[in-house]
Amino acid sequence: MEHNGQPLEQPSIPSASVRDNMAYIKQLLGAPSDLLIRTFLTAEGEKAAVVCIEGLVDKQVIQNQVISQLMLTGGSSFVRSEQREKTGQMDDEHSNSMFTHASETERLALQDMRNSADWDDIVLTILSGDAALFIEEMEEVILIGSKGWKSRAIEEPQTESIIRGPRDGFTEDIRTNTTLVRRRIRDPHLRFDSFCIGRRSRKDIVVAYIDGVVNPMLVNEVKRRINTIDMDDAEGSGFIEQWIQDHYWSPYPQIINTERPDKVAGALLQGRVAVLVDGTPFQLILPITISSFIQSPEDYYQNWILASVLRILRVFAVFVALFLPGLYIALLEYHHGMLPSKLAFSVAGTREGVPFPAVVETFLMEATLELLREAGVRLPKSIGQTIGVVGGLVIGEAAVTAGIVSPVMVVIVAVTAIASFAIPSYGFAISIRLMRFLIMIAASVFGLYGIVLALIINCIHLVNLRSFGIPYTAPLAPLRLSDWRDLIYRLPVIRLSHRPEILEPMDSKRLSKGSKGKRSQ
Amino acid sequence: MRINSFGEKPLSSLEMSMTIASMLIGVGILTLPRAVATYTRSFDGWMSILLAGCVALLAGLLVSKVAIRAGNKTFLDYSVTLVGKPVTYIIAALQFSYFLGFCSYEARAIANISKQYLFDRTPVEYISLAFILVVVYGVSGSRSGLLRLNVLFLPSVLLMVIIVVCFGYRWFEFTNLQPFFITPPIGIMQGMREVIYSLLGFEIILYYIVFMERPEKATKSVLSGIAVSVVIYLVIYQLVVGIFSNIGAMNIVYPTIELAKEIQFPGNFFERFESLFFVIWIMTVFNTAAMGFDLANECMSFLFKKLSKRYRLLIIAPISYLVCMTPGDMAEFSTLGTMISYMAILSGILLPISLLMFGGKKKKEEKVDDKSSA
Repeated sequence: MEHNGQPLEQPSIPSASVRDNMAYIKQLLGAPSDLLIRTFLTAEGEKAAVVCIEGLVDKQVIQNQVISQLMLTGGSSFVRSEQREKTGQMDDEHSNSMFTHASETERLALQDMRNSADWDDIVLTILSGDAALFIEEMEEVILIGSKGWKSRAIEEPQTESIIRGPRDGFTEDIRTNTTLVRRRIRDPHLRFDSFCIGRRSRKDIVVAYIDGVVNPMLVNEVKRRINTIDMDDAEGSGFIEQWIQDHYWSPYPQIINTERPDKVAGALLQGRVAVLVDGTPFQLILPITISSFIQSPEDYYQNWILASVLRILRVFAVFVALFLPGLYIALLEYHHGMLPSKLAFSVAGTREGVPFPAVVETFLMEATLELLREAGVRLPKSIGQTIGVVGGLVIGEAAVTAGIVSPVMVVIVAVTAIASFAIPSYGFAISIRLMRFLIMIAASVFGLYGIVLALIINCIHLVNLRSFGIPYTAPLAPLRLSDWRDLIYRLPVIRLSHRPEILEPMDSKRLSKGSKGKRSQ
Repeated sequence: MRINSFGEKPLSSLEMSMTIASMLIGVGILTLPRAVATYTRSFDGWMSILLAGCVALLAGLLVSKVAIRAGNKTFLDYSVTLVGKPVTYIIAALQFSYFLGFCSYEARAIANISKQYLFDRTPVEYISLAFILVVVYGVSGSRSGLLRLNVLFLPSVLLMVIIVVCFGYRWFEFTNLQPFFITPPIGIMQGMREVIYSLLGFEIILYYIVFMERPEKATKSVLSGIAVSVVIYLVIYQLVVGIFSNIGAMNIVYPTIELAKEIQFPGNFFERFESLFFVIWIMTVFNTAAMGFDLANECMSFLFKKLSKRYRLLIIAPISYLVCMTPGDMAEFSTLGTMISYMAILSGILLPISLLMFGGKKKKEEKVDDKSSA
């Protein structure tokens, strides 16, 4: 082994002896307890061995389709067939080649199998959950697709639940996930390009797009960036997201992650690219713009008026979540006059006896809320809800009764928290939480003036951001009026005739003119 | 990690119009009704505004012709081919000081008004320092990002104007506008001069035309940008005179902000609207100042080719802060404004137009040469 200081001398191709091959594999993997090696004699009398990893393979397939079939039913031997193949190829290469290839596999009734003579390939295949069949005297190894491990069933997405719409969510298994996407798009041009990422973890990731819709330059750039990934393990999609995004110092996510296959399918049809990562239910959609964060797949399942109003509500929620505590500070500390006099009196009345200035009060309560939220995530689900109630109601009530904060403050904090939960994207909501504190600091230093400066700073940052070359603030700035059809409001489905212009899709039309005419008649 | 030809698109002519409009709409409009009312009687200032608008449109037409003729070269490079390097250095230095002064003037104006309407204790020095620091941050990003900010901010400013107009008409009294046509022509001319000061800034097309998708449409963009500003000026002027009357407008320092103060929403759910109005107005003033700063930086890069952008910004920022802090009182401040306006007329309008004539002459000479050689 390597840690013994003796580097393994690695034969590039398997030797003809099964015994030697088994010894090599055992030595390479360190003979772990989950390595299954079954040596047997075939009905033809050849020595053979099946190698696989327990837990990753479907044992039924190996036993019924491979071992028992080879042991019990006779037929042409592998080695002889191989030789026959060679002689056959020598005799006449073209006419017989179909049959000679067939003879290699004629004894195994299996769908997914191939030959390989490359050790790296063989070992990776075994570790990925397939089985390798070694036959004495044969220089190639037959790799049998027999992946079959326990995986989570398809469940409703935990983080993005909607009322109307499909209930299936991505799982940790990439094959299930590609299936979920393909079931929605039966386009022959749907492409799944596979990559293997991670020096040690060798994780599968798939770049999905629709050829002929998406801009090829975008796909090439995504692939180029994915090929630059060089790390031990791409743990979850977050690592990949952080590696391939444009600006890693920005608090704003430049790639959206989702658990919803319908969201991925919708994005692909718009001309975007999805990156599906093995081992996580969170798949990536890119490129995105800032408007993607206030959009939810539900918008498309509902009446357009309802959807538009809900989107406007979400924009409002973003502003409330960003500015409300900052405004409270600014109004109370600097601009008392801006409040209507009755409100000002009642606020001042409730603040009587509160020992802190509004700044300290706000920071205290907001920090408490963030603590509660973090604690709620850590705790088991059943207790998490209790903590929410205890934290929100009991602590708030107690703080008011104890005279630490004013009741208005509790209202402000609660409304802010609710508004931040109304934002569909969790990643964006976190950025907003962060920016809220920035704005609170600015408000406590410069009042309303500080809030506006903080807003300007935020906007400067946003207009300089890009997601895979696409300006982050598009289609607001740069102005693309045709993309406004599906931005803050959403026009009726019949009017959504074009894919987003900002993505520069190859096929920009979504609806044919004929269908539009038919409906309008 | 960037794709150059994907995603990044040059400015459309609409976006350029918005850029020009947000350059023109700065702090000028906040005091403009007072300046116009000082020289005119009753409602006659509208003639000053319209006439000044026409002059600005004409100048804008000529300046944008220069910009178009420069093509995809920057203005200063174009000027080198026409009048040679030494003269261009002088032009660059003049424009540098103009843009720098412009930026400082806006920063100081923001500080003055904030002091009056938002804070009572915070010193002007801190207010303008914070503003200039934000401007520096804005300029240190990409230049196309800076232009995108205009597109982002202008609508909110227009929204403020619309709110003021919609809710302000309650106090509008038509008798304040009468009688018409009683100002002597000289008063109208003086009013015009004041309006022209507030319409300066469209010279930026000379520099920003290289960002345009179709530079040949620059004229249209400049003209529509100026026209939008003139319309806004007119609307606000007639509201101010209609509500405060001419005498009132003369004696209010910031009539436009006072206009916002008069607004009361139904149910009084929001008082002192002028604070919010001004705070939103800061966004467009920021755009004006940031573009001024950016172009000062651009002129400096022509003067000192070896300095990197970071050093240029580090040099310009303190200078602009010093200029911003120089005026001691309102009188000195308005003197600074007048000086900057004169410099704008000289370096931003007269010089480019003379270049246009010069360029035309040179072209003709070339043609003559071609003919004679043929």
